[in-house]
Amino acid sequence: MKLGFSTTSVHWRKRVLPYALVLPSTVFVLGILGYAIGVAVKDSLHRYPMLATTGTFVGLDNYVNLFQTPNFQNSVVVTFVFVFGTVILGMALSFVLALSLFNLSTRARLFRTLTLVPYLISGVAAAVIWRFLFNSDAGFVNLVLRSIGADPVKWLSDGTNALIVVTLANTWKIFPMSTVLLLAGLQVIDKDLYDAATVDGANGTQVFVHITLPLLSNYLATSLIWLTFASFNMFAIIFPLTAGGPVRATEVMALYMYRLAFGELNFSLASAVMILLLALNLFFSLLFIRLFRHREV
Amino acid sequence: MRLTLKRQSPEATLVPSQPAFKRRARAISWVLLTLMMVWLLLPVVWAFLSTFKTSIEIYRVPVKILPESFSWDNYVRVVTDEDFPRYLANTIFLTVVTTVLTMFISVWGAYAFARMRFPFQQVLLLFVLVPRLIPRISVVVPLYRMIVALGLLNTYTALILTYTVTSIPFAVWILTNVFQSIPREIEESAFIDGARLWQTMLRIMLPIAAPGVLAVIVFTVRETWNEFPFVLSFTNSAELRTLPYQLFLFRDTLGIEDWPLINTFAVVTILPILVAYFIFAKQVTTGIIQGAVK
Repeated sequence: MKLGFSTTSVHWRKRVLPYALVLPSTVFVLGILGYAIGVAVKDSLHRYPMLATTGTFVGLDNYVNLFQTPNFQNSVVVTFVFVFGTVILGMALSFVLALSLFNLSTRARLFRTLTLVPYLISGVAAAVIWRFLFNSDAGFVNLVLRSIGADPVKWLSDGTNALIVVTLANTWKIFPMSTVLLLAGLQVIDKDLYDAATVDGANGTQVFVHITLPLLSNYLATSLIWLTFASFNMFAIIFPLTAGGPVRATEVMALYMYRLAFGELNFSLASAVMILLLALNLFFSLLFIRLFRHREV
Repeated sequence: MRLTLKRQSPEATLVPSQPAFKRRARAISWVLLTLMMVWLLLPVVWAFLSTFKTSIEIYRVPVKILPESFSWDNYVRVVTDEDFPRYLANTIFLTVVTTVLTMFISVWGAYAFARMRFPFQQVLLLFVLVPRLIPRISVVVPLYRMIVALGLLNTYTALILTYTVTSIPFAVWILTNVFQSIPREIEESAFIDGARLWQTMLRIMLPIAAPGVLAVIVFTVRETWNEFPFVLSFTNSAELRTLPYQLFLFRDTLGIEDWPLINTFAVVTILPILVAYFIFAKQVTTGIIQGAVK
């Protein structure tokens, strides 16, 4: 490789070129996203008079305020119900779907392709589709309820029901990705291990618990992180589906933040919510990595 | 490359000596798979069927599952709406510009991260990769403040900048992993033959990395085509409106919800992404798995 290059071109290749190639992405990402997070941290520590650009430093007052605000407390509770509902349901469904697709391998190739469909649909379109599915008069769910003689249910005008619908819609939208990740994990497990276990007389459950699950732990962590992360930050499906209603019953932290910023123009409180949301993301990602990625497979 | 969705020969699992639980497992798998497909596809199919119905028909009791006649009226109404070409053009324009910019920046960055050794490499890589964990909605508030300060509210520039910068981390991540999985010898022989870097990239690296590159393209297109929080927050003029934004506004513009029309609009907006995905489905899943498991 050294042959035929003059000293200057070697110098250029070794010293300058890497930075020339890397700089656009790093400068762009750091310059915009890094700066944005800096702005948010600063805003969250200041108080701005309405529409003013210069504020006064108030330390952690905004955070203290937030925790004393009932609407914020409500958004935290709603967020945790929404996120853990999605993670539990999504993980169960991902396991069922990934294992069935894996067991059937090439026989189910078409279904493997179809699995990602909900993930590809926009949040707004998914919200429209789910709003129609649970429509009181024309929705499929109430159609089924009526046909078995039950009373139709008001899905989106009742708080608890709306939260259930939003959680279901979110699970539907994001669990295809965790399914594909688990499927990837199942496919890299050495098939000889299964055969060896079977020869030793292990049954299906034993094989699953003692071979599949341990070897899957990295992929399990990735799937969990994906489901948690996507749910904590879900906006594009809830906002068009319920807009946080009825009466804040589905107002997760991301929606509360949006409402503070663009409804009440309170950017310092909104920034504080944003920082807390980022901290939650980070906390759960690290937690799952610690729990499940303890060994390199 | 080892992590592709590799096909297993069906014959191998049909050997008569296989244990009974395997055969039973397959039967159960079919049952579960059927249930899962119903759950996956029913919401879409129900909305899709309604696009052929009239707005009176969907409220008729008892509700019929299939439309009385397959009429394309709703599709004609959506597509011939005088503002529809504008929304479509905006969405296509933003998607194409963002994807081209993202790919150009990310391919070279990923190549340097995968192949070259230079001071501060790990730190710089971290700076690009950590924001992968920062979702769009969480930066919408400070980005809005920046865009206002720069006087870029209601401009394509604001959307293109924010779309591109949020697409780069994912693209660099996947592409770095993909480039790393390609053996070095291949390009080194090209360099010895006197090929320039961009020639090697175009003729050797990109073709070999095609599944990963395609996956990144499809995902960037999907992100941009579907994007909602940014366009909602950074624009309010109808001239910049994209298809998802218009779909969101649909319920407000009509007194009573015309469900067949709304669902038709939804189907029209998601169709291009689904078509693109189905064409490249195999590469896309391979690419996700290649890039995502590290």
